[in-house]
Amino acid sequence: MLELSRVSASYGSVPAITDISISIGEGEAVGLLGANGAGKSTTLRAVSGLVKLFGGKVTFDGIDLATLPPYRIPELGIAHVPEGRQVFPEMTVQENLEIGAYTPKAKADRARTMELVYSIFPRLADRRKQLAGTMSGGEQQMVAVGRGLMLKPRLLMLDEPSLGLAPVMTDVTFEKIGEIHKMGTAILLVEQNVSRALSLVQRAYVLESGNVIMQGSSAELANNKQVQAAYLGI
Amino acid sequence: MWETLAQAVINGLLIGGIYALVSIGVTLIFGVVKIVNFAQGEFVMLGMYISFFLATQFGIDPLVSLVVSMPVLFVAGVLIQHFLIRRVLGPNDMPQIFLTFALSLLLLNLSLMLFSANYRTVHTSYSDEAWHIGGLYIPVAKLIAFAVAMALSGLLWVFLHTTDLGRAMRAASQNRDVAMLMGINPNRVFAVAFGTALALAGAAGSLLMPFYSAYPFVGQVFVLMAFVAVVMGTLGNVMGALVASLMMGIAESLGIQFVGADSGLIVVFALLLLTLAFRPSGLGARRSR
Amino acid sequence: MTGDRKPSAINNAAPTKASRTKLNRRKFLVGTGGMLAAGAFGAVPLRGWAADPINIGALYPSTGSMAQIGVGCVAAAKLAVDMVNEAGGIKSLGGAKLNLIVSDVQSDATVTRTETDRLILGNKLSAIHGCYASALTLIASEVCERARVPIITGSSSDQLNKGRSYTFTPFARASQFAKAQLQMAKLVSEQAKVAVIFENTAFGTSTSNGLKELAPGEGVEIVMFEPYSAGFTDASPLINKVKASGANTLFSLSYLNDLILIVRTVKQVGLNIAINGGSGGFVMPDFYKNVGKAAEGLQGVAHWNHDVNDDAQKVNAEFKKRTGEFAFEYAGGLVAQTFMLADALERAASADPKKVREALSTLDVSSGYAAMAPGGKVKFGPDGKNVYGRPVGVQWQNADLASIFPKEDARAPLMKT
Repeated sequence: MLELSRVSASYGSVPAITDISISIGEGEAVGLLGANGAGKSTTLRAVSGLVKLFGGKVTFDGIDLATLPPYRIPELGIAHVPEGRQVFPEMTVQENLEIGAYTPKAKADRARTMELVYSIFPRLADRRKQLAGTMSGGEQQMVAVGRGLMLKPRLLMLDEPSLGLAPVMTDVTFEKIGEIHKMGTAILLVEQNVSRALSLVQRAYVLESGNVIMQGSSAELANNKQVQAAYLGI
Repeated sequence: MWETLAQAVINGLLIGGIYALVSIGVTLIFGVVKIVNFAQGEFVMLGMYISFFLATQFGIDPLVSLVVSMPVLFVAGVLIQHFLIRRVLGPNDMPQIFLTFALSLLLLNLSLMLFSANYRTVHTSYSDEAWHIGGLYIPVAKLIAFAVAMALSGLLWVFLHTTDLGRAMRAASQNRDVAMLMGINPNRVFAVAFGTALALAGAAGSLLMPFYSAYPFVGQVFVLMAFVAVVMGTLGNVMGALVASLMMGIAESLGIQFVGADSGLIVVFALLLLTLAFRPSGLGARRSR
Repeated sequence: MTGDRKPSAINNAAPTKASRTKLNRRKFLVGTGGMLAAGAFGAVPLRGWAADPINIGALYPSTGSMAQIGVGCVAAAKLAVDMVNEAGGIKSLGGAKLNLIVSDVQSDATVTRTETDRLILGNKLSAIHGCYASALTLIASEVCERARVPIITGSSSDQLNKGRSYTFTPFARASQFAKAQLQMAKLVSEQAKVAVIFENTAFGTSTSNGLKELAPGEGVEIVMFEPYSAGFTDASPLINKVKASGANTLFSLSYLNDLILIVRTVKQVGLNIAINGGSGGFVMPDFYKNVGKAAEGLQGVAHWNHDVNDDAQKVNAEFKKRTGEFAFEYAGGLVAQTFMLADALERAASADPKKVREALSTLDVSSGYAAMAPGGKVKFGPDGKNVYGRPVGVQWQNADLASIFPKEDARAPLMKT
């Protein structure tokens, strides 16, 4: 479904990536692991068109994404939940969700999708009139993920959903991501919390200094000595 | 004493409505497009001249000519955004500052050339009328201007909060990159924002025409107040700009009434400093930040 | 726009630099000598060389916020020069024509300083007139004093008569305006209670201070005295104060835009008060166009009015033909000023600015266009003030400005409002 072949990109202070090749199939959950500054977020931004490629190609269902302006990419069914949540702080929870279904296709099903999101995150249903910027970090993460879901995406890209969350909230978040995946949405998960990520995804890529240094199934990586030493603290 | 005070507040509130239309435009452009439009006052001036010429050539009431000045300036705004502003948007602020500043000077001097520096007024049946209630009076032209200004502000609020395009504009103003991730086309949103802001300036011009003179420099009188209101009401915050504008109108009026007729602006700026001392981000900012 | 940013010459004569004078002289002789010889049978004028045009500098704001009146001044200055030239120019200089060099001071103090410098340095000038707005004239006259070029101005600020020897003010001074206004207030009511509002500029401040000092002597009570910042958006708070003061006459010392707002607001408030708009924008043709019938009966003072005498009426007719408006005070005054300069040049028989100044200081006229002023006579005192200068009280009557005060100058009775 999503194919990155030999992608290189950088922009300003964003960590550079070189020659990255990644693929995700329909309904698959794939992890993108590595330390801070390894280029994980840049990889997602390269998919969304927020950074310009200077090499390689990103295709989705065979469509070259470089031919589309960034705001056309969500129409294909790619939702990107950015790092640090980045909800629209001066908008209510409900408005954040509504704006998540801005593309014509998503708009048609807006009410029904919203019910679904509220059923996944009942907490948001209670707070639909609250300004998103006034909520706790965990709640904002729910808004951000819910907003991504409003697109009815075929691929949900999540950038560090556990960042800055209390352990309890991290548990909840990962549980919810698992539920979403089970509904058939493909997941591309960027995480520093490698052990949590490996428990969720089927496959993963490990990035270091903008390069893919390792890839494999979750089980393979979890048993890899190098991964254990570097990321799992074993 | 109480009568004088009430009259001063009425006067200030009424003129504050006009300040609001100008400052809402400035803050909308700043919030969404992230540029300071130094030429906003000149678009008020253009709105005035449109109404003036429609009144003198075709006998159209300035309030009616609102339906011409607003669309004309909306289209002008879309075109200016598309052909000028869009090309200088980038990480560097300087080209944008120079562009809108140059636009201001260009429009000023063009109108000096085309319309001359003469003061132009339109005399309507209600220009000199006022309603007298007890010892108070309410000038009809200003009351109409205020009411329409508030109605337009209300419409803008409804547009921003209930339509997808309006929400998209707010989203783009709060986080441009993430707005793109939602599928929002920033160029389209910017063009609508710029057009809307200019349409508001045009409305201000048409509403002013029954009681204020049009001349090429007229915009500068209003744009100064607009900038103060934009800062006081928190940059990019429409509601903040509205409230700040009304407050400034009242402050100016009270200043003239009780401090001295040359102290209106002094009181306005004192209010600004006081506001910023207690709320550095302005009235519209949430306390938590 | 009539005003160019660069000094521009009219009447087909290029601005002459000192070094080019000889060349021009030769050209003139070659070009006209034959024709003169043929026409006048060898009567080649002995002073033919002196018929070089005489450069008069004109400093007016033809762009910027003061452009409206500035442009009218330039039109009047051109008319005046044409009148002098058509009457044969300066005879003692072989019929030399006046050549007007107009410079736009852009309604800005800094520009006024540099433009005055440039005008003087770049051209061989005999005299300058300008700038109508006192704030600008004060600056221009300083430059003229230093360069020793006489300047003649319609500006009314009394400051212009302090410590200057090249500055000439043929018309009434601000302090005299004040006296006239106060006396006019007593035409309205024996118990004159006056509210004074004035813009906080040189013009407003000097005029209002004059009023304040003179009021007790004239038996007029000032019940309110308030400066305001020019270019306000709303006159209501100010009129609110006037209402509270209990005045029966309002003196508003304002430029046009503010004054229109004030007059309209007075009407809205329903305040029954006689308004004396003083001079400035109030006595301009545009005022009536803008305010309409609400202007009827409003009073003011001017340093010149078009019904002052027959000569003024003639100037008015010609100015109207050219511009479509009646000759406002600065316009008519400028024609008189130009004829004063012509008189001085005639007697000086020289284009040298110092000699022109000498001749101006001994000017004494009581007839002709040069004497076309309220009072009908012009003679400068050592401070450059016209010893006969006095203002004329005017009132808007039937869309025209009629002289109503003092008795000697009145051409119509006061219309009660």
